[in-house]
Amino acid sequence: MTLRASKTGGLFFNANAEVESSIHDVDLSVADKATLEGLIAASGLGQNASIVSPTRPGSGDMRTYRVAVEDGSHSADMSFDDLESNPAKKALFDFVKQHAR
Amino acid sequence: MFPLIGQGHKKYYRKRYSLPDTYSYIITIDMCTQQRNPIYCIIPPHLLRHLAQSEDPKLRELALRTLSVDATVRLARATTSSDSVPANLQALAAGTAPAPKRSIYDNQHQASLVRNLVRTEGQPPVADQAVNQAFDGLGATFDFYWTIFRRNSIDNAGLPMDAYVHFQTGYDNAFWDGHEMVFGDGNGIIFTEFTGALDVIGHELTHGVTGNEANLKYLGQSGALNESISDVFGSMIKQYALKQTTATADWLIGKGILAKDINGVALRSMKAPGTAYDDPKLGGKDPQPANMANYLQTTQDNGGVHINSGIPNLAFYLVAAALGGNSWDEAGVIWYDTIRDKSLTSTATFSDFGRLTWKNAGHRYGSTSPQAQAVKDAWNQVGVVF
Ligand SMILES: [Zn+2]
Repeated sequence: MTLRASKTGGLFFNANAEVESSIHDVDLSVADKATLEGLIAASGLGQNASIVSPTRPGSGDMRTYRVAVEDGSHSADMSFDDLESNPAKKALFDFVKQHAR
Repeated sequence: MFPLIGQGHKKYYRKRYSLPDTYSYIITIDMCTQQRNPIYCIIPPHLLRHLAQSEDPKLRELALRTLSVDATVRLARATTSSDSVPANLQALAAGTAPAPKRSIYDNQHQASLVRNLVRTEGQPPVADQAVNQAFDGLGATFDFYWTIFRRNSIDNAGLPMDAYVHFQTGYDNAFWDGHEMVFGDGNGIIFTEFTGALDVIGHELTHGVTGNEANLKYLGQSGALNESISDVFGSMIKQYALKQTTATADWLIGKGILAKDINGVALRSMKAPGTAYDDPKLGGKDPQPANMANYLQTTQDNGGVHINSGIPNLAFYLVAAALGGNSWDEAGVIWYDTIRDKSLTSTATFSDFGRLTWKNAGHRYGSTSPQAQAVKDAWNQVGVVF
């Protein structure tokens, strides 16, 4: 299973911040893998087929976060912004960023 | 002092809004900016703008009121199906300026918005600097829009202005979510508090103004125009507060919020796009182009909205520099007319916007005026043809 995380937007363009990060679950420790599975379940990734609209109407400078997962022939992704109400989505994003090589 | 003409219009507005005579005739005079009928054009707008800065408070107020009716008439037209009197007209009729309605919330570093009200109108400064900066910044922004354009808040109808400070922990951003402003504290490595720059506060609030007027789609060229308009008005708000002319202003966006170890002066430079910083922590050199020849096609940043905005930013600077004085005297008026122009579509390109600024400069000052020529020259100089 491979997870990719990227973000875009903000008051200012920072090329570093927009670089995509990825992790493979086989590279994780048993504890981290368990954490990852818990975060995926809590975030709802893979449960909803549609992607959330990345830009709120009339907004400006909000950041959009994207997490995608591929597992064999299955793939899913989700997008959310700075005011996402489900904190598990941001936690999953942060996990991928922190564990990316 | 101001000749009375255009009685038909006077009657119309008197009947509709029951305004005192004084204000009726002011409305009548200002029809010149709307209709281009020479019979109504006794005092040219640029002269009114000079009068608006007169030492004589009576003259200044009359000129300001006259100039303001451009916006007021549009609002009146938009509400002809309603019997309610627009807030601007009420304020003009009462001879009073509207007051801002500010509310500042301490978000306590939470990731979702927390309505923890810490300062509102009539309350003294608090110990928290970010709260006071946001409060004062919203006030300065409101003052600018009212004094220069007679715009009553974000929606031109007195909308309350809400701002949240201390969003998340070390959050390196500020944004407008379509309803309110949200400010992070910065992580201290790249940015410090985002409330520390008045132009950033003005930038965010102007996203609300643009959303209410042109609603430019936040993608590609229309998104870069949306961004540029926020920079243009954010910069003018700062210049107005600091009493800077086009010649003395720094034309930088976000000066003072970069952490001390960053090699740079600001987020963006309107006068010299691409020169604001050069630091690996920011991804290298400032990528803003100054000319269409260097327009960046990218999928990042919603199609480069904060990158390609350098092109219309420079166009505005060039117009302001060519016309001299204060940026809001003429260049700002042309840009404001343009974002309120019903011909401006939500998917406008740089060329569309440039053409409309030229058209509006012609309407205000005459199609062969130095102002219209300065607009045409500026867009040509940044490679935008129309
Ligand atoms: Zn913006």
